[in-house]
Amino acid sequence: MNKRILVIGGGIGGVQAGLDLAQMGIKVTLVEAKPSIGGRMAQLDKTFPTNDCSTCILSPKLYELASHPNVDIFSYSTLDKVDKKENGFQARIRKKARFVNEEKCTACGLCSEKCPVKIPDLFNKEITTTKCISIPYAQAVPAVYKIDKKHCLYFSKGKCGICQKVCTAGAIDYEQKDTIETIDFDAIIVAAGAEEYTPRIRPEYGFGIYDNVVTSIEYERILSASGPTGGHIIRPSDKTAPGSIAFIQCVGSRDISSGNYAYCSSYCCMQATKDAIITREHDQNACSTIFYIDIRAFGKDFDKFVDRAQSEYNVKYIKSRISEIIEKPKTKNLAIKYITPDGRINTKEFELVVLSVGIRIPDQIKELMTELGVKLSEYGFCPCDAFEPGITNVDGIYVCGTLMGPMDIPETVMSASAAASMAARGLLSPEISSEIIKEKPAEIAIEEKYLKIGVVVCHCGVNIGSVVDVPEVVKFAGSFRNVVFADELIYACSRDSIKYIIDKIKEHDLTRFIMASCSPRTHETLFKSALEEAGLNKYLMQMTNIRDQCSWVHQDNHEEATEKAKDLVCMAVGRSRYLQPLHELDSEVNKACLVIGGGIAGMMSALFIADNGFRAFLVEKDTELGGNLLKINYTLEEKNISWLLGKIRERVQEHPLIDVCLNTEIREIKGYVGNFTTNLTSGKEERNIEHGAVIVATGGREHETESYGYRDESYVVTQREFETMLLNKNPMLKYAHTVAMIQCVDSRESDKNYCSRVCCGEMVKNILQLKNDYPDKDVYVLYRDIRTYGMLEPYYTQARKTGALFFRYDIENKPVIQKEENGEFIITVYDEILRRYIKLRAQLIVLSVGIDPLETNDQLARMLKVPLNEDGFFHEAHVKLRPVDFATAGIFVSGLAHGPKYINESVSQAIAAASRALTIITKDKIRSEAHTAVINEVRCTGCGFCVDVCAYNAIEIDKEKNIAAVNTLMCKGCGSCAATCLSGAVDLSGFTNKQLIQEFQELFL
Amino acid sequence: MVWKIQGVEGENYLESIKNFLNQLLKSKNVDAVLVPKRFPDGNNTAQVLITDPGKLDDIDPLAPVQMVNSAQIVKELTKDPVKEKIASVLRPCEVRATIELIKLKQILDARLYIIGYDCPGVYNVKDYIEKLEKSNGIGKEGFTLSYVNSFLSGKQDTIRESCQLCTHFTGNSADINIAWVGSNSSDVFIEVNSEKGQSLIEGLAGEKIGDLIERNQKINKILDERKKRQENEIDDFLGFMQRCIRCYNCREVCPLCYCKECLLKPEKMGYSSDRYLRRATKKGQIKMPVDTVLYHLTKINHMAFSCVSCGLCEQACPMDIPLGRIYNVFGRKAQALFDYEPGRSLDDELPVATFKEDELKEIEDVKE
Repeated sequence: MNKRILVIGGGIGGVQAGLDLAQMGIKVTLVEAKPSIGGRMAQLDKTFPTNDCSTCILSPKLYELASHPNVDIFSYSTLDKVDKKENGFQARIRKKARFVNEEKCTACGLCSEKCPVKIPDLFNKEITTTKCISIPYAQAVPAVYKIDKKHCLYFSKGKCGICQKVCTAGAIDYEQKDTIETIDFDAIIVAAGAEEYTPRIRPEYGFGIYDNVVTSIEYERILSASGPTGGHIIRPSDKTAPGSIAFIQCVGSRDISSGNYAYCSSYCCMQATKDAIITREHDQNACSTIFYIDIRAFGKDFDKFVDRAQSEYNVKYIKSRISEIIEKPKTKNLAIKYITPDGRINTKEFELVVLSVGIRIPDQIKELMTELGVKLSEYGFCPCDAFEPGITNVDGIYVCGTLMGPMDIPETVMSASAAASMAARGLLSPEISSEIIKEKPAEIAIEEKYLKIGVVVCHCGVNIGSVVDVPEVVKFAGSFRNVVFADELIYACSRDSIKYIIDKIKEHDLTRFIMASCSPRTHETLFKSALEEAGLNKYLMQMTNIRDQCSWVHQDNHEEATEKAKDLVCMAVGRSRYLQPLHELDSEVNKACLVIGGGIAGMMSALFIADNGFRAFLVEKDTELGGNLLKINYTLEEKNISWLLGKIRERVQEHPLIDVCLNTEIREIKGYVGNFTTNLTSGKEERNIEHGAVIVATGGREHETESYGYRDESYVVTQREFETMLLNKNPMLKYAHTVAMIQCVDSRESDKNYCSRVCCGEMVKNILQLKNDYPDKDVYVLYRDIRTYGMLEPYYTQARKTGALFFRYDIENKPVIQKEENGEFIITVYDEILRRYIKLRAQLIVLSVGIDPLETNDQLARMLKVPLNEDGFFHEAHVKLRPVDFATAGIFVSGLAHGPKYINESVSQAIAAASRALTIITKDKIRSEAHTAVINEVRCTGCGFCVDVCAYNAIEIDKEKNIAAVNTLMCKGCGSCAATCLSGAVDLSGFTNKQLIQEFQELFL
Repeated sequence: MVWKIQGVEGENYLESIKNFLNQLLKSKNVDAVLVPKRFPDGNNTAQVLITDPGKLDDIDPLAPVQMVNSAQIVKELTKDPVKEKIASVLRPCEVRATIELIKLKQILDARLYIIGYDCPGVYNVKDYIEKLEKSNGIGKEGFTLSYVNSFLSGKQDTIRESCQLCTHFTGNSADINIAWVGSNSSDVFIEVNSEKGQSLIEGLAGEKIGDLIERNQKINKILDERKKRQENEIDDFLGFMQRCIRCYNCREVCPLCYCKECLLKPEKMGYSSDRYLRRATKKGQIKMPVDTVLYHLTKINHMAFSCVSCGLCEQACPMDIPLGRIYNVFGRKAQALFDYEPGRSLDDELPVATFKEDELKEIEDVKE
């Protein structure tokens, strides 16, 4: 068995799946059609609801993937053929000719600079041009240029050849041919993603006709600092800053007029809100208006984000579907006709219109899926069962991300992690460790040696050398005390250069090494490995970036760029004097996982840990497994939940690797990643278990309301109770001729300001069931926004078609219920269009009460030292890219404990949590960071500031000595503690105060 | 809540305070009391830890002199866990420094009871000794009482600058506060501010009384005057700093300088001899000792949030640098940024280690 998995698609989904698999010890081949990985996320400016820079959070993952020894990336490559074999697949991968040698290209960019041919820039949505030889964006991975053969003068006319002439690395190869590799795989994960809808199909919006109508993805590029306008918001027609911007929602979503787009694309409401906020941050006078049908802010903290858009950023939301945009010929402004909240028709002019385009599956991916034999839904997505998200009809082929249906980034990341542990089944074993051990020469002890510093200054082709006077910098470096060797290299990163560096370290008996070149982000690992080869501890190297900091940003001022390069080298010399060898610490890993909570999330996490060959302890405080699912009979997609649940419970209970602990509470959890000890109590019995990871899947519960007379009236019920009434054909239904449903009961307001996500779907589900069983009954729905996102939208359309009537109410004007003497209810609600109160008569009222976090979350959070958000749900490490992790290593979260979600989403997150836990427990040993906090016991006063600021819970106060103590395995070396400590009692190894001070002293004193 | 404890009233405030402490010790509500007491020769006071009620004679918490900020002494007394309950009788600035030190985990407060009292302010030590000598005839206790009277009548022009600027001269954040400002006689009232404070007077005969309207009026009047004075600024910071000889007196007396090993001490801030020469060569000259501004800026940076403006630094400065004023201005402004008031409450989180999304708007979005 070769244990290799093919990942198709290099967007965030493919990247996450690839990383998880690689960390589990499985070889990964990732195939991406575009010249670089990163996908859509690389094109986004910021991400909601935290407004983190998209590239900043994404690119570390891209580098991590690209540099992982278990990963091979085939970019600019396609799949010629995939054959099913016994126990796996065989794929023919075509690596298309770039006409640039991937090994030799150093991404110096000179070729592109000198190339005379301009072509439309696809990455920037053709708003601007790029060169015929180019790289999609500055942080692209792999950083290899590519020639567009169609437009290249060399290929079309046989002349030019400038790029080949200027490339000092000799990387241009006009003769390069497509290469084909045939590789065997155990499984395939398709993370091919989706594309945005092209609004050209909707001529009434004038996209492609009117200059100032752009799509949301084009607008992302316009907002981006690295985008075509350099981060200045300017409209295409006259390059001026638009003062008024309209966002039109649901273009190509919830729309069957221009094709089969009956679904909701899920993320566009939040994207428009984010873009409107960022627009305002760019320009304090810019006013954005969002024309929407429903604001679908259903995710964690989304409603708060929308509230802020309105209260702090002056974003206006108008509920109106726009049918036409008209361009004013003179100003090129755009007139939009819309319906005002009070039902009048109004026209307003905007300087720029952004169409919030939805997503769809591109035809070539549909073709690929067909070839793989994977069935797609009528909308082109790959539908999955609620309990098997990611599993397709073809054995061994898994899907994740937007290919499964519209979803945002964290959901994509969760589904990708989930796909990883699904695909890994059968490939892992506790006997085989997934950590990578590299053989390296024995390390030379430097303590007894003289301080001898070597300096290499890199030209980076002409990238540095054409601006910075490299020989001058070398001469300057050589003048310092203890510098015994200084030289320059054209490409320090080339293979022969690395060999040269190793030789020089040995020849001069160097004990410190300084590399003045490019970014440590991309090249530090390479130079560190050179030191290791030479027998030096790799932390004795100091890199200083004279490319980004000098030649790039000061390219017009050679002299000052050179001076700055000298200063940086001077500081590096100062710092290097106090560099010390550092070593990572190894710690044994206990190969079991504790799963807290026996609901569907906990059971699925335990199953996927166990199915992959590892032991799981499943702890449930109740006497049976199942959690909230025990009270649910059917969902929109699944008609027989209890039967499915029964099957899963049976699998869990009979699994030899799952230790089911019912009626059990957790008394205490001690330890850290890889080595936890947990005290379990069950009645009077008590026992300790040991495990290497923890998954928190404690769930949530139905909100208990006192509103709308629920406590006192038997004819006021919750949606869940109503579901059971329908199932049991409750006699109360006979009497109730009219059913009124009230959405958002106690939700999305002051002390419970979040959306419970599932209630709209519940409502739709119950309407369809009611109308199926009792077609004559009338239904009224009182709602604020209908949030049937993604593939639920068609069900909503269906519910409307049954004749159910929907009334929108405002939070300021909630419905009021009165009981008549005959037992009927009169509901008074303000109708915005009629501008008056209307009265509805109903015999049964159904409340959508939403989901509450458990009160016990607080206690568990304190035990695990992980945070809760302000609503009381567990707070993940990063809302976008680490949706199942906690900042504290080795602890993961899934299901309702993390926030309200549907069953399939809980299951997906639960399997993702299993994947993340497997990346730890598949290892025999885990390795700490080398750069960790060190406490000076003489200086430490035990004041505890460091404990407060540590995001990783790596510091505690030793009660005996009353001083801080660092758990090196948990420390990530962020340095917050060192920066906070007033007494100077914390040092970050490799970044000690002494080193930092010496940097400045070398320069200034 | 304000209490009047039975049997406390004496001839004057000092005697009433003494009687109250006597009851605390006798009732065994506390095992020891830390309180300022006059030297046998009467010429000065010191903090004394008293366990024998018979030794309470000559206590003088109102004497217009402050040798140290007693929070430092409380820190010394409570650094290790003890069984005994200790009540410390502290000036408001000492109460506040104590609360800051509890938050900084330098004081174990499990067995500590903080008793504050209305503070009439103090003279500089030199002035106090001089005035005490000149006051022959009225007796040592008489000197304190006549000072208290001049405070009540608003005549106290020569007290320390930081006392003149002080707007926290009652111990509202202590467990209990011994209130006497606004009382018509020599009587004192007990303001209870915490559950711990309530347990302190447990079992003592007394009655709850309503608001002390006259007291509040009196306090507000003094506050108004002092707030006006607080509008001052430091006009010549660098000029003042030139005077500094880096003697470290200000650091030694500061109750909030809690580091075990100061980063700013000479061997840490010093340089090798050749560096001094290199620095001198760069500019042609350097003033010795070097880095006096860096020293003070670092010190301010370290404790501006917790600075209670006790003024001990100024009293200790041999070069007459108005450090009290300087720290008051820096501290007040830094604290205002985070709506933080040192010593206001144990529940306020120290701003250094707390993140709030809406704080420090001042430094966001700075555009041109």
